[in-house]
Amino acid sequence: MSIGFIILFLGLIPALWKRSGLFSIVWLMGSGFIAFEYLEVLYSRNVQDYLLLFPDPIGTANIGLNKLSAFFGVIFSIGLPLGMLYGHFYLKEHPGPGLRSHLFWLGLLGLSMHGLLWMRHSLLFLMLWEVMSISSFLCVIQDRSASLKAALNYIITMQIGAGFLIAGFGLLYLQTGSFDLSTLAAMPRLPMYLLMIGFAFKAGFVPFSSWLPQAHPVAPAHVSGIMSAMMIKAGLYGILVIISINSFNLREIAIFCLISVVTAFWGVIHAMISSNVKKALAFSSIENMGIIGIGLSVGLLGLDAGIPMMATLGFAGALLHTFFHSLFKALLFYLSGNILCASHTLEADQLGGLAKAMPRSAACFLIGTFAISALPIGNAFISEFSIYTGLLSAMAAHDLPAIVISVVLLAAMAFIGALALIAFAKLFGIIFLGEPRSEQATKARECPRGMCLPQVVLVAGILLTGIFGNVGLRFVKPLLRWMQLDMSGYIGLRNTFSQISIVLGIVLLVFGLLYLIRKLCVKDIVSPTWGCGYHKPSPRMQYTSLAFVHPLSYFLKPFILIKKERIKAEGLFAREVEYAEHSEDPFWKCIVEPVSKALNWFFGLFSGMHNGRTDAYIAWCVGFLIVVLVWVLGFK
Amino acid sequence: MINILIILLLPLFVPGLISRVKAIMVGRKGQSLLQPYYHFLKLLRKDEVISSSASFITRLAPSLALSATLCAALFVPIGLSESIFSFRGDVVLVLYLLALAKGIMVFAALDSGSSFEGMGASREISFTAFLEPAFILIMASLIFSAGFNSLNGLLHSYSIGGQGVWNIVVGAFTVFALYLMLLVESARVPFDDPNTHLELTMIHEVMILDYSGFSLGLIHYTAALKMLIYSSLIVQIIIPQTTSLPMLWFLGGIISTGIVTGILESLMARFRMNRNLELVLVPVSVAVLAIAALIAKSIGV
Repeated sequence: MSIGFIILFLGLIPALWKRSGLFSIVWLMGSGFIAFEYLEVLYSRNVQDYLLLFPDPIGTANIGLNKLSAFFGVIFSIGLPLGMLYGHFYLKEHPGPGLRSHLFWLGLLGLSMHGLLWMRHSLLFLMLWEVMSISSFLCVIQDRSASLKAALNYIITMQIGAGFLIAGFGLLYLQTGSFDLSTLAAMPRLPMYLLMIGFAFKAGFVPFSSWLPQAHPVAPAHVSGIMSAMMIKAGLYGILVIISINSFNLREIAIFCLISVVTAFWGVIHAMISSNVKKALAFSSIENMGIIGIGLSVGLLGLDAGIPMMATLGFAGALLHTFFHSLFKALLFYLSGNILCASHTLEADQLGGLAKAMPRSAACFLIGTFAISALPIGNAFISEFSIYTGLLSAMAAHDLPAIVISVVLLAAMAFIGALALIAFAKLFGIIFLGEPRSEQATKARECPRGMCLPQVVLVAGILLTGIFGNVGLRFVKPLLRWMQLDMSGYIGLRNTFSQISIVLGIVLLVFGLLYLIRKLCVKDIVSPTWGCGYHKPSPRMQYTSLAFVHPLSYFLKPFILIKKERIKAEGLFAREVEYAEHSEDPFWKCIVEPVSKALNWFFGLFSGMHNGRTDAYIAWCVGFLIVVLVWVLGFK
Repeated sequence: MINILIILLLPLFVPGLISRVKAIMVGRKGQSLLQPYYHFLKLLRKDEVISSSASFITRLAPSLALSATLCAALFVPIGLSESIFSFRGDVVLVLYLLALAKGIMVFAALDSGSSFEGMGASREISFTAFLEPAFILIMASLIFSAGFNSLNGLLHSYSIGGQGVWNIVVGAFTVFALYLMLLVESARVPFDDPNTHLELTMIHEVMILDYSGFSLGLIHYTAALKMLIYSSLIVQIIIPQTTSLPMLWFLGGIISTGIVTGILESLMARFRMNRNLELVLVPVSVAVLAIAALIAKSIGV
């Protein structure tokens, strides 16, 4: 509690002096200290608890950590300083106005995220939750002209989510009579649902996810990285807190399953069709939240159906995926910053051939692609493997509801996994491979070395956790024990992961040998790509991102709302022909827009009152006073 | 030991067999059964022509694809002998190792910057969207009837003639679905025609247009190995549990898979390219049927 936080607070001073380098160094140091405290709580029995006395409405506040918050604390203290470090290099390459305020809010965002984990008092929790939302909003609008609208949408969505949280905590207070969260046992249902919805807003579950693909593309790369990889985990932390103290019945689990599957599917099909790098990554965050949700529901289903192994594997998979997602999503968002700095565009169809100009970024992106599409060597494979085996183990236990749900989840996981592979094969292939599609892409050069430093650290982390699955597993072990799950499933998983490490080692060994033989014995003769008899190939002939995913569009069209704009050719000599189509968010189109229109209309009714004439204002005041007088005195 | 020998030596035999069968079907004498081996050895001795658009991906892709497929093959039992690796849930690793091989070859295709190769890559990777659910559902149905086990254990403990008529129905479904997956994954008629000579109508072949020499040899070998993996899965399900000559059954099964494929290829035309994906849904639905049949049996409908 003490020294790490003090150092992180001190980080606000260099922020006010606009020293982003010093700021990130302070964050690195402070995170080291605070990570030490988290690890101590995670791996030993002593727990740090503080009781603070506040004036009356707050009362006695219990501040401290448990295993769950320590787990998220470690994730934050790995991810945040790397984000700050990348932010330092990114802001140097891509300077914007208001460095001082940006750094200050960035520091405050990190502090509130850490602080949130310590709070076991609902009022203080809500306060820090608000600080987190507002400071992240102020970080997003660094480039004000482009991002204000999307950022406002973000902050309004967050406020609605916070409204649910306030209602949930309020009801909880009315029913239990205390703000203390540490003594909370099983919750009454209504406040629990309200809290789940409130946290789902932050975590980006469908249908509350439309802020993600809008806010991320306009935010600076390090902020989207921090938000997508770390901040939405705060919502997940809330959901996990609720899950760990409540038990659920089958119907609730089925609904949770359904929401998770829809979230994952929704995210991945939109990631497939978006050609903007950051938009695709934002949608992929939604998908990964869905996969974590699937893992959690596998765990819950295992508890409900009395299959201890399934429960352990499901929760282990979900927690591992939470950790791994914070690594590879941060990596890919920071690399999108590199792409932006090198070529000044994020549209995949404007790019191409960056692998030759930016080999370091390309190699990092390749590892990130492996990780995000759950291919072996990347780390998401380890977590998805755990969820898959959890589901497969349910197939052997003869419990009908568990089996039916498992079959659906297995098919959904495999389908979503394949679509994720397609989405990110497309993204990597179109951006980094082939020939440059525009002049900007031709001019792209590798970014300065510093801009690859955080990515290299993250790639090392991904490879370490991806090849040696036990590294990640040891990290979630205290949590599994804390959740009182069956540890024999854990031991089985540990043995499996060590065998996977051996197999992956053989894959890499054989690959290395073959590559070396090829390199030593084979002479390369360079010649243009074979054009099938066509002698003037141009980069425009290459496959584009939408063409790449086209074969599946027949099956996925019903799930995507596509808006078409066309000007038809008319007459013999058509003047203008135009055709464009882009996808739209149905939740946005059918819920948010009509509601905001209705609100605008309603408040528009009163706009005549604000007419700028003093006499009219005095008249409103007098009218108001008369109404108050009548209300107070009443009619006699 | 015998597993490694078979994995290393047998794969290239199957494509040779298929083309021999096809030749005989149209009344030609056909090439030697060992022709793919000669071809492979010749390619290994050659240098390569590399596209000027190519980055490091082109150079590393064939090696990575081969090593991933090879390690996937280590999980498949051969005859009655145990597979080299096995642990519970290894089916997922096998599936994703094959996906890794496919993914890296798709990158290699996009790396050349050719529009044909992009087209092939797009077609090839679209198949995975339905093949992965089909594979995992087939394995789920095996696990349902034989308990949670490794791929090796599943294939050994499952037998098509086992317990009654349900088992035969489900086994037939499984074999049918796996055979369709074999046709898709190893780029055979009716999904893809390895002998076509128009780039627009190719899938697997068009992805590797720019490869030559050593790398092309590795790619041919990888494709043949993938076919061997799928045909061994099919054969292992068909082999009766109580046989005295498992190895003979296994080799006979692989050879007859090759012959059936060859006959099928001579009798059928390739399907329309843009409707292929609908056909790839068939293994998924067959796998769903198999699981539904099993569940119906267990609750006693």
